[in-house]
Amino acid sequence: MKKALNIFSINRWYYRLSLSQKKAVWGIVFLLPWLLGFLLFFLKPLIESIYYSFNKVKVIEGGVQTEFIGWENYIRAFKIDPIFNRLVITMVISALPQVLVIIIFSIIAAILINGKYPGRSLARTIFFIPIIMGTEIASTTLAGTDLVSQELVGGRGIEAFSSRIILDVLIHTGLPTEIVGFVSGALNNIFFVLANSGVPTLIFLAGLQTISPSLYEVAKIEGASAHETFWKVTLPMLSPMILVSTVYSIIDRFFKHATMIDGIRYGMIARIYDIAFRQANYGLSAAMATVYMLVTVFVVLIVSFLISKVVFYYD
Amino acid sequence: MINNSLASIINNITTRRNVVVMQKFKTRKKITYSYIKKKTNSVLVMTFKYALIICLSYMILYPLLRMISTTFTHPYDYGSLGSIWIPASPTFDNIKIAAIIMDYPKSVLYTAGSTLSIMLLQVLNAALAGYSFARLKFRGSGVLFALAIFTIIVPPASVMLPQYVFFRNFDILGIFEGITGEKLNLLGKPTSMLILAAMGQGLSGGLFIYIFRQFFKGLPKELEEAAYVDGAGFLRIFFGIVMPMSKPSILTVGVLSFVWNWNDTYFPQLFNPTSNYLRVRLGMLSAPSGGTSNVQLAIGNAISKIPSDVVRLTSASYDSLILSVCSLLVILPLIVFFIIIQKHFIEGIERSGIVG
Repeated sequence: MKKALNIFSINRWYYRLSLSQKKAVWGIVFLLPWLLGFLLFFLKPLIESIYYSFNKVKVIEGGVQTEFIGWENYIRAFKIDPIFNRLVITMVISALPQVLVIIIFSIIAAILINGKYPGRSLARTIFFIPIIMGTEIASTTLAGTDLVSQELVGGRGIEAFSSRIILDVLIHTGLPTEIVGFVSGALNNIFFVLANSGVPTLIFLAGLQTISPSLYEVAKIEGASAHETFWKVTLPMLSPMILVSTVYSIIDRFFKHATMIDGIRYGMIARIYDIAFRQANYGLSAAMATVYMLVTVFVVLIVSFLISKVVFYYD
Repeated sequence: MINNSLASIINNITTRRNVVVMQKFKTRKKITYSYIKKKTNSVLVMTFKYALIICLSYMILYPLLRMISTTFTHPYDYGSLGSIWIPASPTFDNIKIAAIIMDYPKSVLYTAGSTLSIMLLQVLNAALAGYSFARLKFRGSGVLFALAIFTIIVPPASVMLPQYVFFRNFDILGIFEGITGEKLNLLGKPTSMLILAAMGQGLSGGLFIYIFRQFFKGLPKELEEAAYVDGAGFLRIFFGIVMPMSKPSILTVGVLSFVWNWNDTYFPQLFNPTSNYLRVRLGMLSAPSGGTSNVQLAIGNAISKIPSDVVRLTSASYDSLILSVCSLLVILPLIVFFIIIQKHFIEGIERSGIVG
């Protein structure tokens, strides 16, 4: 009886609200699962993790035991750990050119699969296969074929050979060595670039669909060439998507970063995981995770600041 | 009179014919220099475009085709120049061994079940949160949306340990401790991953919220307003009107969530480290090891299940062959799923207004 009364009073309270107040109430209700998750599984852990990074942490029955040691963990991460500092540096240095190539490639891919021509649906299916094939799976196979060709030919395999020809041609054209190095690096990683271009291509395709056809009509009437139309219409209209997919690619690259050190493959996340759960050094692991997060946020902020300078917003 | 009419008819016919001739003459294009230039240009562009598409498609499909042809290559032929693409003596032995190593039917069902339930929870949560951010604004919802975007940027590894400890000693307001005397250990159970997915902190949770919000913002408001005027509540508007209209974005988010969770090793490794997940199993096989390779160990472990007439070798290249067959087995269900759904998926991307 009392409960029914209670519901009744809530009802009365609800009916007295204005529309925007009702919307606000329901907005909070709809958001509640995410909000709880955000507080419990994101904000609290994030603060705890930063706190752990200044402590010596021991996992005991029913919780953790901490002992404050200041910057010790950070000093250890950079000065004593043999892998971590190299991982951070290679992560930043290798990711940026990779992301550049991925973005350029995905714009080309999106434009290619956007037009109308026979066979388009087949091309679209193929271009989205990288989304379903994990990067590592593709690279496992390629590494496998490489191994076999090494055993067979005793050389570096067919792929290495073919990119060597292109390299020779480029060097003989008299281009600066930096550019040649960049191009050859991109060519060597072409499968890698393809495997990572799925989601950026998807974002660009969706972006191309939102460009109003009337803009192209105007460009045509004004006598713009295809070249001019691309640089003056398509690219500016795509620029917000360039921002989105660059940020996405950087985060994705950082998360999947792995590098060869002394013949052994180390991954960034795997290293942080190992330190915590194999070596049971939680404080050090938390310090590494914090450094990793700060580097990511810093790079993303700088890059998005630089790109947003040239981004064009139609409305 | 007759003469007159005849003359007029003849006149008529001739003028008409003239008009027809004129029209024909008009429609036929003059073959000028600029016309030829234009035509050859467009043919060149078309050829270039097709060549580019075919080259890129080949490069994208290369690892996949490689895997498929490797799968049916006889171990003795592997790497021989006689069977680069088409195996000289096709065999099913590799698949049999790989299926035994991957514990195939069982782990596929486990992975599919777990991935599907995570996907459903992620879609539901992201749709609710996205709708709240797009339509049901309240004071501070802008700040919360910025925080949701922030969760995309922060790598999951930086909240790894506290989450781990949390699920190690799981409790809601001391209820479980009160009943059973000790806290619940949710590690090693799929529950922990389901809880994370349901609360929007699963894989790429923030990105999915963003996609839904952009889509809902693009929907016409009038339908929802009309429903409200007719007396529908907000829950009813959401599930009865908005959700049926958002099939494209549900599809986009669903496919991405399914595929990414299928290929993910981070969450299973942390919260539910069983080898029932195909990707985890593959990761263990390809992990570096001193001495005998993991593939050889796995074959050794499953030796009683392998029929005696199946060819198997002990060499590094044979290990890589089996590894690539295992990789194919991991993504095979995904490829089938994608081929079934791809047309709707791509249409969905076009209409979901991810970028709005």
